[in-house]
Amino acid sequence: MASELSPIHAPFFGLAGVASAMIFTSIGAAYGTAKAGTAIAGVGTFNPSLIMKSLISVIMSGIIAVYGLVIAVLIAGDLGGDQAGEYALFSGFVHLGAGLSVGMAGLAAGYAIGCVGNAGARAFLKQSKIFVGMVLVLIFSEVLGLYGLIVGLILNTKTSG
Amino acid sequence: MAARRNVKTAQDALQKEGASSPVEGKPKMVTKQPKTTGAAQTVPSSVVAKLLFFTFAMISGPLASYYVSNTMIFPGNSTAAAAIAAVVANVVLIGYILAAISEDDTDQTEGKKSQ
Repeated sequence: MASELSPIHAPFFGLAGVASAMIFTSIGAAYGTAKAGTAIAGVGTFNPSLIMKSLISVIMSGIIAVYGLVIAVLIAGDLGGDQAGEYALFSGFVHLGAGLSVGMAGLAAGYAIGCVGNAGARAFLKQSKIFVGMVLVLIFSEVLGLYGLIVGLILNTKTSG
Repeated sequence: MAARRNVKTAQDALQKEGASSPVEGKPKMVTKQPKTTGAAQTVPSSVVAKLLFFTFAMISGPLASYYVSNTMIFPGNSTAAAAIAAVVANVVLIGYILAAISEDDTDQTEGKKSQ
């Protein structure tokens, strides 16, 4: 079972990749949701019709968590190893790299979405023309998480191939 | 409409009794139903239905597309399934942005008409 290329501690790194993908993206999404949600609660008391537009940043934070969920499910499917049941140490490192890339990118994207959503919602109360700029900056922030997802997907193909 | 006319008579009755009516001075929407102060009365059911739809789509859309793609469309190719799940999540986001923009436009036009 355990050999030089697939030692007994190899699945530790794969499991760490799964956990880091889910945990760090959830931390980022939670920060983005909380930071934007406080601004929505403040803006909604003055102008309730702006709530629908301000919720866009919350939706984007949810997408960050979806990215982490996708990568975590993807890595968890490959944790069983190949047909012989061998899980190489290389696979463990690749899974850790994929999980860390999507996790840390999601953390950064969630932080950016939270700050932009907070300031954007408060500014949107005074100036309605800021909506297009807010959505554009939110999309750029959310694309940071998408880059992490792409790198994670590419890394994940290196183990099965 | 008959109920609306009765509101004024009820206010007159209150003023005749000498009771300082707190209803006075508030907008008409509140005087129509002075007892219901819950938030559910102020939120239109269409907005609630829209939010529920997008919540359900955001939760179930990527997961369902992942498993459908992994088992039916591209069996065994989980990378394509993951990419499709990410695309579906972004499609839901774009749909929400379009819905938010369209709803705000209708609010503005209604406000201009009322003014």
